Amino acid sequence: MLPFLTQMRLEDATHEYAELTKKLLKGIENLSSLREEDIEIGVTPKEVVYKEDKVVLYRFQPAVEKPLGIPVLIVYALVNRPFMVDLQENRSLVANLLKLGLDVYLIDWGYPTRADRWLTLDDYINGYINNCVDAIRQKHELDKINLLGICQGGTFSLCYSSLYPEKVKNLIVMVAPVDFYMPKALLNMRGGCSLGSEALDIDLMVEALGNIPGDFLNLEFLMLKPRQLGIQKYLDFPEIAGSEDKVLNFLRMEKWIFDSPDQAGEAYRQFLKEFYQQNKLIKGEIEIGEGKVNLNNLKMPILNLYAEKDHLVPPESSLALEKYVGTDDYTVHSFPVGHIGMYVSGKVQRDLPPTIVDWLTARSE
Amino acid sequence: MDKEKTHWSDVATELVNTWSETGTKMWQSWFELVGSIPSGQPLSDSKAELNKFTERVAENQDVYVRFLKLSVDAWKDIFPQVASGGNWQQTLNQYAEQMRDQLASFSEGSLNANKDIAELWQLYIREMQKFSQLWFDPLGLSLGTMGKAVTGNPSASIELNNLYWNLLYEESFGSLMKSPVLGPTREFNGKLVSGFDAWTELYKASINYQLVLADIQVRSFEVLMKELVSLAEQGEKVEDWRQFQLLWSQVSDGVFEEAFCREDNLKIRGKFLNALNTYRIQQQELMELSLKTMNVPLRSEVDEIHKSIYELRKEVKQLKKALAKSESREQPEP
Repeated sequence: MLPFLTQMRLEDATHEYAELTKKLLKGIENLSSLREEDIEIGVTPKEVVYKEDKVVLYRFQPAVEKPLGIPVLIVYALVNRPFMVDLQENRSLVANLLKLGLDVYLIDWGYPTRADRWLTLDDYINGYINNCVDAIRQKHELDKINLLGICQGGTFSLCYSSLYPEKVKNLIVMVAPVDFYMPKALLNMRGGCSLGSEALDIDLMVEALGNIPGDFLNLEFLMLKPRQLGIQKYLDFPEIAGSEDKVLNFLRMEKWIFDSPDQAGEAYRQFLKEFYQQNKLIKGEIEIGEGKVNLNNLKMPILNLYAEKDHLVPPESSLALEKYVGTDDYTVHSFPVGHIGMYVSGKVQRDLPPTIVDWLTARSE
Repeated sequence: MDKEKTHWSDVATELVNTWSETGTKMWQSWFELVGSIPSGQPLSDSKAELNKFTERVAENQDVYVRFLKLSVDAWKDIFPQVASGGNWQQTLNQYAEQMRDQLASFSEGSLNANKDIAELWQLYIREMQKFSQLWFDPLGLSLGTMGKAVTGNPSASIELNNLYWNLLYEESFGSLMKSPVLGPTREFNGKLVSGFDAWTELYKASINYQLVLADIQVRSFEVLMKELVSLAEQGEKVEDWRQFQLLWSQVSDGVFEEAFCREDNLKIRGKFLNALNTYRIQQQELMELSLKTMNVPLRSEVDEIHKSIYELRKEVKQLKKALAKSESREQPEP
């Protein structure tokens, strides 16, 4: 009934491993011909249009003669690097949006150092995001632009749009956490959504570490599925090691996933305490600088995109947004993938960009 | 039976002791491999790194082979009973029970080893001698100690562990250590003793956390066997080791997720992380005391400077904005 488990002996298992090792060594031969430039990511042509401290605002080179009149600014999570939306030629959200006629801007947060330990969410939202939005508005002589916020960047975009509704024409949020009390979601539980400082004392952590190391966050993400993310995928590596294309794809993903900047201590403190542990966003209690974030201020059209199998941001967390916004023009669209799949899945890259562009085009007047 | 029992029992011990190390080793191997690429050197030129990587792959394979052996041995005992409608659950329970026995012996051994306060103090001092290294990499400590995870039912052992600390340490030596110190080295000794206190908290919290991780491993094993029975009853075949490995990963991660969505386990993990951060702060204070004597800039001083620069930078930005606004107001209409 079960030939493998009833017949297999230790010698058989060892033999299987020996075979895998042979494949792996063959793959290493393949790897030996690779150089850093081969795994170059973020390849879509772009120019710097604004700089402030370590933050850089990029404008991607439009791919059509007359792009949509209102540009879109992409705001991603502080834990990622900008190439998350521009991984490689056939897996680039940015390149696909450009091809479909959008004028795309992107904020690069840079790598915070100890000198940035005191940066707060006020600096990120009222400072960097607002200044980037103003730079784009000025360049295009527009009152309002479109905003696309991804993951934590989506949460930031919600805060920003609530504080500056007069500057946001249309708001798109993608895999963005909104309701943080998720007792069945591991990331939220480990962040202390139910236990607060008993699960993780953020004040103590920031006092001890200053900035929160990117490696700590990577470890936290891996610990959500320790075997599958920490071991399983590497055991699969020998199977793909013989194919240069597959190895390159694998390396790009590795570079993207593990290239995580440290988190500015104060900003991390506020995000974990007030969003994760106290769930203040949906309670209307978040204060950014002198302004209070009220999601009911969001009267602009909103497109909420989420991943059905997301283990980092549960769908319910994103879907909660509908209950709190003040707009009648609210659209939800889901994709049958996990969090990472939203950026790299071939099927999503075929369907997601047109969904965004069609939605924006219909609201471009 | 005794011989067999000892045999797979040994396998289980080795397996569980390396359980959390395995993942770390895999990452390290991978980081080293990938890390050699940005140097611009082809991998074939980086022979040392490559050899290390290959060795580690082999080590990891060894761990997996041992897990496979344990699982297959268990399955060989269980499967005939599944096929004949016998009491397979009892056999599985016996396997799990023995794994748990090992946890109990670990816990007992660990407590016995550390009953002597003088020994604890020596251990702490030994740690302190290398505190400058730990200061740079406190999280490494967590990975290192996690690697010593053992198997067993955690709740009883955790209770025992806490009881030991409360009765034998807190109420005797612990309170003595907390009493004010006298003399010219008062400040340093005071910090050293506070550090000891933080270290013992970390030690206790770390053992409790390891017990939770180990319990997850035992339960993963049980759930995996049950899953195999369920598949067998449905007539579904596990064709090869990869399929088996996939099943194990899914089962194991499921058990892990369920365990850490529970508040009691989260509190244990929280105590461990919080104890780790508290200990780090104590280390930094000691470090600052020793650096002070060398007349070098201290971390707290650099932080203070950074804070001042940050505040000044913010003020300058606000002033620039206000100036630009006022200048644009003063511009005459075209």
